[in-house]
Amino acid sequence: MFAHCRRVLAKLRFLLRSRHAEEDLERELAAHLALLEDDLLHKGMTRERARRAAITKIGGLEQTKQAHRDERTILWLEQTAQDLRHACRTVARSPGFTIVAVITLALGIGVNTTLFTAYDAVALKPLPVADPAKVVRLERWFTHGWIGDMQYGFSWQEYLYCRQHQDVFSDLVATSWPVRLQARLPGNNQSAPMPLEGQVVSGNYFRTFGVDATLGRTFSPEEDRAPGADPVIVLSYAFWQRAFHSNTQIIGSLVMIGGTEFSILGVTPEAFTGTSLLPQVPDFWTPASMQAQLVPGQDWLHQPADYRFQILGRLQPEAGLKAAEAETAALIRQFSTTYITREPTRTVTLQHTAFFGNTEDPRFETGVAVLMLIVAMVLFVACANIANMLLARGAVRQREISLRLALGASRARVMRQLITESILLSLIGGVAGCGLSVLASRLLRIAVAQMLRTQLGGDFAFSLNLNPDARVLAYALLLSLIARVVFGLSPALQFTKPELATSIATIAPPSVISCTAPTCAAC
Amino acid sequence: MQILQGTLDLMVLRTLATLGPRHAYAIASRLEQVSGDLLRVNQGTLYPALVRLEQNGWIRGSWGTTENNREAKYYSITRPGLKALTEETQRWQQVAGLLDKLLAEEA
Repeated sequence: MFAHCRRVLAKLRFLLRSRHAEEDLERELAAHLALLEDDLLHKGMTRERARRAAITKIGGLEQTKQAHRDERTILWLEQTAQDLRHACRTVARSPGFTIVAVITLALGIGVNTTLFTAYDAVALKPLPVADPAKVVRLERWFTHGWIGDMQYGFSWQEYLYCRQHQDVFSDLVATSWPVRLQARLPGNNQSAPMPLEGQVVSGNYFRTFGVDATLGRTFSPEEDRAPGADPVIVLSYAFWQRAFHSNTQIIGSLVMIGGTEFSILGVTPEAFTGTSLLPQVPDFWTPASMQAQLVPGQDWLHQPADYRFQILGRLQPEAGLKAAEAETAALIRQFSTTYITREPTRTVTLQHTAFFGNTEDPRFETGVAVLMLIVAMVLFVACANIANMLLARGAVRQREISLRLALGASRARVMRQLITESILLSLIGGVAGCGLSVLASRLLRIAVAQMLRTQLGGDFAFSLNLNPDARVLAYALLLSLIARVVFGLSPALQFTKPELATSIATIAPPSVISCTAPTCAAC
Repeated sequence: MQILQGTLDLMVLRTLATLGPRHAYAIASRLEQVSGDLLRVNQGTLYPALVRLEQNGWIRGSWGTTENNREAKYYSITRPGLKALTEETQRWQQVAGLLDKLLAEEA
């Protein structure tokens, strides 16, 4: 085993120093020949005869060299390296073609990757919480078949009931939709109140999601016990930056909301952009026990059918999704048959959390699929164009390839060479496309944020994360490889068609290929 | 006589362990001489065997000059090479012993 690893390493080393190894072997074989010749001379042969005998005895030098090479290196790797070098030269030799092809591909791949980036951010990226794979969001299904954001609505009473009776979650969290409130910030009591977006959450919110304050502290379940007893808020990083210019002295300051002074406990980390269904970072969070003070005159906590809250849960490590779903559905059904008369709930499902709700909705998925198909057509057209260009260039390449085939290269080997070339081209296109899509995603983010800002008004922190992640990169890579197959395969097949006679005839006058040997079978 | 697959490596190791550093030509001559010219060592198999052994770290090659003042690449056995030689010898003896026994019974 050890020797085996050592050998692979040695082969790789030889691969890098291939020219050196080749020279070394040449020298060694020359020395061998000389020694053999010396011996034969010694035995009394003339120099001329000794030389000829030595050459005969040592046998095919080229075969020996090739056997040495085969033993020395990893053949496929060496051939790939050869192909790559050759491909680089070919690509560099026709810069015009290369630039046009790369730009065409980059556009096709870029558009596709940008759309995927958006889809990724909306539907695939998990919430910015600890161990997001275990976090699920409850979604209810009404007997009337209503669908939409209201499917995520639950009453506080339902939440308490579930939390008491369940045994599949390590914790259940309730969080209200963002609510817009007028607030007076510390230090400018005289000025007009400012609108803030706040979320009322259960006291275990930060603990369950593993979010620690970057400044000060977050609140705990103890501060969610007695109604009105703990007027505290935790600020989001975005709001802290925007309203307080990242001032670290604001911990403990008082913010006046709805006639109550709330004390600032802490600030969440920048990465925690909230768990809302909307792409918006809330400005602050407050425990549910403060709801009556936060929104005076409203009671969110005691009506069994007042669907003000979303419920998110962290599954117990050994709990299966299906079992948890069954139990939750049973609990909610029990509750609703006891306390709620209107809009009966048929069942409850658990959704792996993504930024938006309803990403599993067939309508959403159809929409995405149609969009994807449209931009895929862009890429397909790009590929078709490149394939055409490749075919047009074929006239020139055909000669080179026919010659290589005639000189004894196998069709597979020539195909491999052409495929390496197109892979190189498509990867350059893919990298350029990735770069393009990063730029486009930034633009998209700015545009969407601007749109939402004018629609929702006020200061608004956009939480959608459009930075490319591993999934996006993998997608771009996959696209460029698919593109390669689409544009590269047909020319490769075309070029290597074994119609040698016709192509060869065009590269050289007949005198060169007709031979003079009287016994040649071909003539 | 054809060299049995896989035995050339062992022969080269043994030769180098016995004679000390030798170049490829000397190794080939030695093998032919020991076999009473029964064995014809083909360069096309010897050189690959040498590079294989070198890559395994069992022998090491370095350039030197012969007594006739010709340059040649001298191979010498390494410490892991000696260990491998012992192991391979044992294995060969086992195989050969088994074959002997089997052939004797059949006869």
